[in-house]
Amino acid sequence: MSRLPTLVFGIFLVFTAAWFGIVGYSYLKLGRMEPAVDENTGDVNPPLLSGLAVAGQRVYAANGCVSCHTQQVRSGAFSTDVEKKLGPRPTVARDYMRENPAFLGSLRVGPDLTNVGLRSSDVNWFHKHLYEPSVTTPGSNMPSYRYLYQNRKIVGQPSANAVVGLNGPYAPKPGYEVVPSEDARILVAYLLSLRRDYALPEAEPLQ
Amino acid sequence: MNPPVTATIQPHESRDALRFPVIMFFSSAIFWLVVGSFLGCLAAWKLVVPSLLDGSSWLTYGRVQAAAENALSYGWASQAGMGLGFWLLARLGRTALGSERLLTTAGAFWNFGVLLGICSILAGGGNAVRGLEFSGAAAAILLIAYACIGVWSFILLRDRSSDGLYVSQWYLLAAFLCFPWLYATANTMLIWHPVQGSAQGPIATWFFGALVWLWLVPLVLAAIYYLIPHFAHRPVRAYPSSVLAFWLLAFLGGWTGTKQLIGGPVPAWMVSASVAASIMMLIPAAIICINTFGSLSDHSRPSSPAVSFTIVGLACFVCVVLQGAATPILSAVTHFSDYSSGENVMLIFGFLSMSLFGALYYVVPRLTGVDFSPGLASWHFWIFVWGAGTMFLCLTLGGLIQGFALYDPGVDFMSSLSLAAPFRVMNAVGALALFVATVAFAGLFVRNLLGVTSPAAAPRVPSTTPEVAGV
Repeated sequence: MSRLPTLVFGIFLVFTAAWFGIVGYSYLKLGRMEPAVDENTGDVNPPLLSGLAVAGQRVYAANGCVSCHTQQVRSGAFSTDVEKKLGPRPTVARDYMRENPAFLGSLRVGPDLTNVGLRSSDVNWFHKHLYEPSVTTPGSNMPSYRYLYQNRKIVGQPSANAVVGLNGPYAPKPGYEVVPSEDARILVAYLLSLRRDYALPEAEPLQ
Repeated sequence: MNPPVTATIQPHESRDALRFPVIMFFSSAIFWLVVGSFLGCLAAWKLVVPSLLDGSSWLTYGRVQAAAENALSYGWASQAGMGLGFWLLARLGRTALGSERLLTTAGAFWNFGVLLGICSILAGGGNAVRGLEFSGAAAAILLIAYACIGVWSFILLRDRSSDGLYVSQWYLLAAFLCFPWLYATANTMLIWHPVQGSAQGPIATWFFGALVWLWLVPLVLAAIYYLIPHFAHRPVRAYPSSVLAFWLLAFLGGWTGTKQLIGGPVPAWMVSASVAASIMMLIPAAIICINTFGSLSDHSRPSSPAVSFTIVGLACFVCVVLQGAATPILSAVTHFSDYSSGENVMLIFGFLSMSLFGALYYVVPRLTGVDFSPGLASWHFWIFVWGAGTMFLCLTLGGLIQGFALYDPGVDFMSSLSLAAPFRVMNAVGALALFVATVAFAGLFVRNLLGVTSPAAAPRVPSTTPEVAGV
């Protein structure tokens, strides 16, 4: 096998094996999923995401949230994710069909966010947490994302969107208010959309 | 497959032919190494002190961490590996390039792509896919630059004037063939024209596994297979078995990635296949150990930074393979914990970087005709080993404790944070040491380029050193 063409052909063959096996299979079998329709209620699962939530995925990606947060509730004997109440059931491939990209993650420096929308639906709490995480969650090592917010002087009527209840070192002075930017608003819309509380035929039953 | 046991290379023809482009690849690789280890150090400290520089979107933890990893993969390891690859191809094939200006221009274009990619991540254009964070435009530039770089490897192989192909050349050919394929596949399916989210997880993990095992690892192994006989002054022990190791590694490499999704939303067979491939990787690793450590053991080992780095790098390679094979036993506790970051340190700083340092300490004096100052080199070695070792041990130990907390349903999440915290402090100290060591190395390299040598170092005359070809 000291001839170049033979070697090139051999390398081609061994590379193709995994390429077809994993990439090809994923593309053909996992990449063309249809949502499930619940026969009783007529609901489509996973539900459609709002336009804001879809846009929020971009902010989630841009700020590297995936470095610290996973979005998968694992199944199998090796995992205690369901016992730890990370979600009502393990996630399956179809749960991610509307995600782009799919933020599966590989480290839990911060908690899993698969079902963060089930844990709280308080928009103001999410904004407070992003603005001053060490105040809302003492001991948290999440950095502040206050660059997604505007700390501005109140002119005329205070903004209806202003974050209320801030009391950390970066809380607004009297006469000022903290208003979420467009990015912060769509990011929170995306986080609120994260809830896997619907049943899928191939998934384990809800607990 | 019957290469000659020894062959004498005419000293001048291949040595000087690629001198300029190879030095350019090395210089820019070392630049990105310093940038990458600085960003990595910053990220490690931000994990300990979250309020550090948190007012700037460019320096938020998630972006800095991703930028560090990409700078190290595409800026440092890929470029140092490609530079070494061209040097080896010219050496082993006893051939020269027609135009080194084209290769140099392509290399500059590659660096432009890396720069654009790092800036795109820090500016908020990252993709959140591991190893593919560079914006779509930067990835396209890298791929175009690669087309102009990679083609020279085939030209060098085709025009070689030696008969057989040594195993170093096999590894280089495999790496240079696989990279464009896997990088184009992954960018097409995940970045430029993303497939449905349900298929993205397996493709992304396949890509990262293949990037490591079919691109970075073969580049480094090619250098090691060349260096070992030169260190030992004898041919590689059990040389024919290295062919088996090559094919096993090339076959298994593409399957190793998907074990990252153990328990995750992918078909179970994908994880099983990946775990099986990682366990089978023990076979080529064992053969590589016989080829390398076996060749060194019964001969006197000259003490030089090149040899020390290569030996520690090889020991880290063994560790990387063992950790991969141990995944199914440990994953219940270690998955998603800092233990995985420790595995990453072992791979990038332990195996890849140390082996690349070893090769650079050997090759650079042969390009510039000036030897490295041994005193500073020894500082570089010990600080780097201490830094990487501290990071690895702290992340592994802390990761195991954190992992038990993450696994135990009776322990809340915040406890896992406070348990891991002291280990993360030590990890940040290690990252700082590592950064200092890379700056020291960059200084050494610049001094070497400028022709500064310490009086203690006797000027080596590489051209009269008898060559043992890469067998």
